[in-house]
Amino acid sequence: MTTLGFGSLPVDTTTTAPAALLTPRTLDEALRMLAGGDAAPVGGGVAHVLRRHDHLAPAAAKLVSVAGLPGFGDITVHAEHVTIGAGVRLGALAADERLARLWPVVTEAAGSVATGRIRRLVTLGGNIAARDESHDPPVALTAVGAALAVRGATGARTLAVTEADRLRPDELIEHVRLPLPTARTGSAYEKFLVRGVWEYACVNVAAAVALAEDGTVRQLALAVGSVAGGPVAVDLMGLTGVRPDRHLVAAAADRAAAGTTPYSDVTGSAAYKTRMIAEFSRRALISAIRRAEAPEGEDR
Amino acid sequence: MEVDPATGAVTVLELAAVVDCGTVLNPPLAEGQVEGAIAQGLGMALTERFDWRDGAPTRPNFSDYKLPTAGVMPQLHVEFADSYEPTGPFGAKGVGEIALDPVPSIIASAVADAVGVRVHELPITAEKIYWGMRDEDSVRTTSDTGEEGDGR
Ligand SMILES: Cc1cc2nc3c(=O)[nH]c(=O)nc-3n(C[C@H](O)[C@H](O)[C@H](O)COP(=O)(O)OP(=O)(O)OC[C@H]3O[C@@H](n4cnc5c(N)ncnc54)[C@H](O)[C@@H]3O)c2cc1C
Repeated sequence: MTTLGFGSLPVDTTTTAPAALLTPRTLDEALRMLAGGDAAPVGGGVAHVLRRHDHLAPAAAKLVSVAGLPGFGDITVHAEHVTIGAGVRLGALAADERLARLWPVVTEAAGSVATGRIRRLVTLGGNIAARDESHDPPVALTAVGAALAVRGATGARTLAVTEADRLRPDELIEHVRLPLPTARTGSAYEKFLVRGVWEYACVNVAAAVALAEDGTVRQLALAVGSVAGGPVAVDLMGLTGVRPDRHLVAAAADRAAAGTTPYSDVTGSAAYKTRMIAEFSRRALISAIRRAEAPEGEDR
Repeated sequence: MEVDPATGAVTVLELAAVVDCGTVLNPPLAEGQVEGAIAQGLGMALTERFDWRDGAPTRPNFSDYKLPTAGVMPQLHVEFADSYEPTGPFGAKGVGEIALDPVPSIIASAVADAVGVRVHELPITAEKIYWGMRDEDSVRTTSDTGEEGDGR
């Protein structure tokens, strides 16, 4: 979240305490290290480097590198779902052709993060665990109904993407699990860069639409980021069962604008962002519907 | 130039500059000066917003104060006037700054020409244009909407 408040000038030049970087070989070893209480996971390490840059103490005395753990870098298409390892770099995620066919909203969101050099480094797990309401991938994952497979020394559990704040310090996101889209499903991501140059989104919206045999809407989802408590899954109750036309798109976009609370910052006032949430919800939904309606095998 | 009527966002497609810098001593360098000046002028016009309070910048970082990047540079056409400055060395005079100065005002005029909204304060944000397209009179009064913390 970008706010305009008093900026503190970097006057404090006290050296930061050293931290040990640990590189476990197995998930169990990593979980044991984290159970010690004085350790924090490292994905791509961006958050940790920024702490140093800001002259803050390390997040913990022991930093446990998890991106290289077995399976953490894999994207696997199973019979009924897809798993994306928490250590998958966003650049690799954006470039995955299978995912681009199944859930283009996810690859588009990953590809919209920052710049190519940053995407080569940052991981999906770190991006989600950072719990920034303007981050792009969690918005897309919320729209497709993805779940976080989480593991701690005492066992495994599943969290919704919007529940990432319930992650305990000794727990790791192991992978993200996405359902497989049914036939005639389309999805799309919209990130509005209001100044035309890279920055965090003014608004970011993800849409997913599944059509029934008769062409009516069977399932509909919209998620909005860069708003209070984001990503927010918009309540679209009662909007299914009809043709995917102009009226449906307008009704869903109105719900998105009414159901979210953006904040004023350098990219725009809250009032402007509410209008943009409606606009980019329309755009995302229209692309998703076009993809759902496109014959199998064509650009979806 | 294009303005997206649904958002107010500006895309500058093409820009021509004719510069009077007296004798052009080194043509490629002079052209580079003008191209750089146009980039800075576009930043001043569209992306860079300086916010301060009590004499200090509120956000001294480049993640909020956005410089223009290669992605926003339009196609450029640069020409030089055939001129001679009698007081300058070999008839030359300054080249860098003069090419920067007119850029914000031509962007403002192009926006006014495209959508009929005249923005009177830099930067020319999408938001100012957006509200201006919906209510001409509100442009000036709402020009700082969303830009809380202004030191004025
Ligand atoms: C210049 C810049 C621009 C950016 N722009 C964008 C953008 O446009 N959109 C966007 O979405 N993001 C953006 N980011 C954010 C970037 O994606 C995050 O910094 C990144 O997601 C952090 O990922 P990481 O792999 O480096 O995680 P780290 O920094 O290593 O970790 C982040 C946090 O997650 C924890 N963690 C890491 N892995 C796990 C795990 N497997 N399980 C549990 N906890 C874990 C860490 O302990 C830490 O608290 C930007 C960052 C920078 C520096």
